[in-house]
Amino acid sequence: MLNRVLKRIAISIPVLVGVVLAIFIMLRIVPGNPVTTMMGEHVNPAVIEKISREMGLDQPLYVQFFRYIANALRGDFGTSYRLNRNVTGIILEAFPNTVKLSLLAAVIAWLIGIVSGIVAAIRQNKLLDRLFMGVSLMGVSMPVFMTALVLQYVFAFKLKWFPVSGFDSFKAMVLPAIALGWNSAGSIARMTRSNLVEVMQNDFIRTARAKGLRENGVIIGHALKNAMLPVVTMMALQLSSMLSGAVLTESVFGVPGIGRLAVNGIETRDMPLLQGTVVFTTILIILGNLIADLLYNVLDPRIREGA
Amino acid sequence: MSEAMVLDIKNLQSHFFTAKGEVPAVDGVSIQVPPGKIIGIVGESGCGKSMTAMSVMGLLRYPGRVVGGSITLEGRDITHLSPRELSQVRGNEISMIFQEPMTSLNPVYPVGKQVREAILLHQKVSKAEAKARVLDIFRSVGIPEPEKRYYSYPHQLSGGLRQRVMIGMAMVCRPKVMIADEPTTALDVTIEAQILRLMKKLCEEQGTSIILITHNMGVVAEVCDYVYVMYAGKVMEQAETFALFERPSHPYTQGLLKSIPKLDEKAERLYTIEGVVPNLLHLPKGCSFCTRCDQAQERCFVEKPGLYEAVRLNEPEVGGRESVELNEPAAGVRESVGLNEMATGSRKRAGLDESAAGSQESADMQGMAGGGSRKPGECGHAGDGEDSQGRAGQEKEGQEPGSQGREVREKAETHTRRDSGQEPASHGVRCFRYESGGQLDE
Ligand SMILES: Nc1ncnc2c1ncn2[C@@H]1O[C@H](COP(=O)(O)OP(=O)(O)O)[C@@H](O)[C@H]1O
Ligand code: SF4
Ligand SMILES: [Mg+2]
Repeated sequence: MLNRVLKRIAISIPVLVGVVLAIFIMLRIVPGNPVTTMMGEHVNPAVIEKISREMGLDQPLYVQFFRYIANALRGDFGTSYRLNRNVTGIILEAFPNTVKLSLLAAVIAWLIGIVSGIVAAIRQNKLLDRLFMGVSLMGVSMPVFMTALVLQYVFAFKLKWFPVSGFDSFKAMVLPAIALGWNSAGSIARMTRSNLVEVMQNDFIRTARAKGLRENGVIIGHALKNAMLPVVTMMALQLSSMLSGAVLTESVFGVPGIGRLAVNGIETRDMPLLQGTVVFTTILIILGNLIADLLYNVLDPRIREGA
Repeated sequence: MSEAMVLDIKNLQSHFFTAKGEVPAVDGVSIQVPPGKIIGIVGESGCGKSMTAMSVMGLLRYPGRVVGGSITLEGRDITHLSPRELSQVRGNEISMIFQEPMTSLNPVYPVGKQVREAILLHQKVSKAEAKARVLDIFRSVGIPEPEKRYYSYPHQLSGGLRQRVMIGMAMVCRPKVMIADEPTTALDVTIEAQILRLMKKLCEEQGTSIILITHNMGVVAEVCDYVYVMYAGKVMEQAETFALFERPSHPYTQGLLKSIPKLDEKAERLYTIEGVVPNLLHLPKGCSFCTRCDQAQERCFVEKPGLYEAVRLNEPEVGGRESVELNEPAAGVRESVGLNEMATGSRKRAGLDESAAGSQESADMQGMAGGGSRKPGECGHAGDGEDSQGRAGQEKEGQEPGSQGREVREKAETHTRRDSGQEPASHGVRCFRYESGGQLDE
């Protein structure tokens, strides 16, 4: 088990370095001098050059890269051009908002998804199944920004049940959480249903019936755990992707989270900020994958025991 | 007598309602299970053995369902139970084990818990008490280190051990009947022998009757007291094991027996019954075996052979009642209708000419009905539970059952002997061969 974890972490390191390298290069080849962007067009070129040198931008790319990595390892992602503040600090300030949003979204999504998936599987091919699967297909296929805009328009602008934007109260979190979770709810529902239906074909289900379990007992007691193994993995992945910034949802509802930071970074050409958020979210996604994999191992005795 | 039978399946019909049509997977099957005996059901793959068992367990799934007949467990009709009643019978009074020990246990729970669940479902005992019982049953089904095995997951056990767990699960509530559907087919021969011995032991010790489904005549010879031979959803022949092997009277049974590989013969080519099991949607017009029967006659292709009424040998008076049920226009009665109409003397059935054989049949029916004076237990199949241990050996020595086997032949050749009080040891589909005085080459 420990071996597995270490192996997985070892594999993750090159991935992380690759991502940092890619983002690093991409940000350097886009036209425009960041210092000019930062200070405006009408600044004395000599000043710009001086500042560039101070920031190390005159150094060869590989030097900049290794310096960046060395600093990042110490938790220093540089200073934001625009805000003139430590990027790590900015990220850590925004992150709790993203965490709140993601957790709420995940809980809503999973509750709705799992329950409706089970109900649909039990009522397979009946009306309720069709209804849930129709709605979940909408959930899966509707783009997030559209869900977000529709929710905002209907429930905030028109009905005025919720604030249009902001993130300072629980009430304000509801709409963004639903918008963010909507997709996940749909895919969880569909996956729960199809896995359950598939697991119900297994021989051990027949055994469970033969020993005298009623149908609901068979489903809850014997099918669900088997069916949920892959779903749990998917849930972990979903959570890590939510945590790594719901760019669109956060933008539509003005949630000051990681996603918003990334968008700000792009809009203002704030290279250290953008770079910092991307690296941070990459780490989150890698961690999420690792946890998903381990969860699967812990839950499935066949893998756990190393069969 | 009926009360003596633990399980009494009468004229069971289970059909699958598929897009292509109604598949009569179980087509008028009658099986009687006396207490403490091992009843075999043999037949090629696809002949309806499993579906018969699933019908008894109420485990048929859409698109299949029981459309006719009755299943009586110790006098109680369990054919149409509510899900709740059914769940109290399953695993408690009748239990079942399956062919695939690899997949029949839930991979994500320890096996001990899975067996314990069966106890907790049916008995009001504490978890600790239930666990103690699991360990007991593990010991009696020969699972080594039960304490340790209790916490094992299925994938950590061998196929043989898993099947022992399944048997333990099936036996832990001391059911009246255990159905074992090809329990050893997936296991290798040494393990097979062990498992069969175990089932025989449990059957004798606990008095549980076992229905053993197999396609292997060798397995039947090994453990069964009584055998039903199935083909295309019907019982072709039924007899005491020894009698069946000694004097198989139905061509299908003869074919099955001929295809058993024998060690002492120079293996030239293994005999196989030619052809394949017919598609149940397009059964031949006549005898369902006619496409493959090496003794088929012309009429086999056009007329449906009836069943021997003798299925209900022990209670001839019921024969009359039964024919009333059967004359109701229920689905799938086709075959039996002929028979019962003959019995009641109202031969309305279209297409069946009043041939000499026909009247011979009805004479025969009367003869059967006349057999009412027969004492229960005479054919050995009836409830003589007390000597179940001794029986197997007795059979091997070939005394009484053997002589009955000979009677099969006699009976088959001359139905007129019926009034002399002799009874067939073997019953099932009424093969035309006998009625036209067909030769009995084996
Ligand atoms: N789901 C199904 N749909 C249609 N027909 C079925 C289905 N399951 C079984 N059958 C029919 O039932 C027949 C008997 O099957 P089964 O009882 O499993 O045979 P076996 O004797 O090998 O156990 C098969 O030949 C098939 O025609
Ligand atoms: S009735 Fe008898 S002889 Fe005729 S085909 Fe059927 S099994 Fe063969
Ligand atoms: Mg089968």
